[in-house]
Amino acid sequence: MTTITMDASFGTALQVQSTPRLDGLLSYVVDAVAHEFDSACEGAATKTTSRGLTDDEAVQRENLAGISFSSFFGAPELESLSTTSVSQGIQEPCETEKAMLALIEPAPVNVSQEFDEDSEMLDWDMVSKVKEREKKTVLVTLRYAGRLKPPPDPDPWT
Amino acid sequence: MEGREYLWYAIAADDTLEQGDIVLDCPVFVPPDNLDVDSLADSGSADSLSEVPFDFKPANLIVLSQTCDLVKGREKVQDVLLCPLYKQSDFKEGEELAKPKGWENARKGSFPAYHVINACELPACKAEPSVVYFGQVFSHPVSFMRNLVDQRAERIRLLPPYREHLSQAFARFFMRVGLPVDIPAFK
Repeated sequence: MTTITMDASFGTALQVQSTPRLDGLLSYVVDAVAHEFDSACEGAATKTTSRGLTDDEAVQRENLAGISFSSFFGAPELESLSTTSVSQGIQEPCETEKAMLALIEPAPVNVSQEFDEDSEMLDWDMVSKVKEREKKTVLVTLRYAGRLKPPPDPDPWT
Repeated sequence: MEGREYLWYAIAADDTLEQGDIVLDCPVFVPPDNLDVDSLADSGSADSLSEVPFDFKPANLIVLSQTCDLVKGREKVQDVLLCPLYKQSDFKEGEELAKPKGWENARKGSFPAYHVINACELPACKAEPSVVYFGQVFSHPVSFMRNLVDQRAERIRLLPPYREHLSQAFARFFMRVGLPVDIPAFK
């Protein structure tokens, strides 16, 4: 059995989304998961129905469609997707799980327009100027000491 | 690349400041080693001010601060970072950089603290090859430097990509890491 645990910060990222967009995102993911599950099962060396799925896989497809995505807010955890019907006999994420994980990715904060890398950069104009330190006034007398010379450097390789 | 000329230098003659600007005979002020900073009095009266002797040493300095930080009216820094330029004749006999072989090693990048820049053949500002020494770093207020270059005639300005090559070498000098257990030399 494999447990997929979503990172809590992902839930936080989702919470930043506006509600309408979030609803749309959820319904897209739910629909897409079912579709991707079908795609992930293609080529699996298992007995298939006329729709390309085994009976067990058909049951799983129904289960996936009913997953409540409200669990994404907080410390979400998806209970295991049984891999017995499609597993290759090894304990690693099956195609179903991979397809789900591929669909579920952190959404950018700004979802109403294309992701703008420049907006992520610090706007230097907005950085406040360094506060001046306390000044003292002294009387400086300058004495000419010849041109600046390079100091001796016995080991310039370091 | 064949058919294209990548000039090393241009001439500048205004109060704009850019990375790669070479300011000749720029003053360097050196405080005395034994200056007791804590005892400096500041009563506001000229008669009671502490008198401190500073050494004044002219030097050929190159601007290391980034050009974007020095745009007039939109400065992001208060001081311009500068490093000195030296010619081969500035080094004492016996030192690596007094010899052509030493300059070749520096040109190849074998000396982290030194970065060689080409001779300048521009008629108004001819100069022999120079080495920028990162072991000495100075700063002057931006306004001071603008006034200084404005008072002077023409100066040479290192152009891209040689300018970026210099700044990369400068950064590399300050980000060296000494490994506690290094990989043995391959033989």
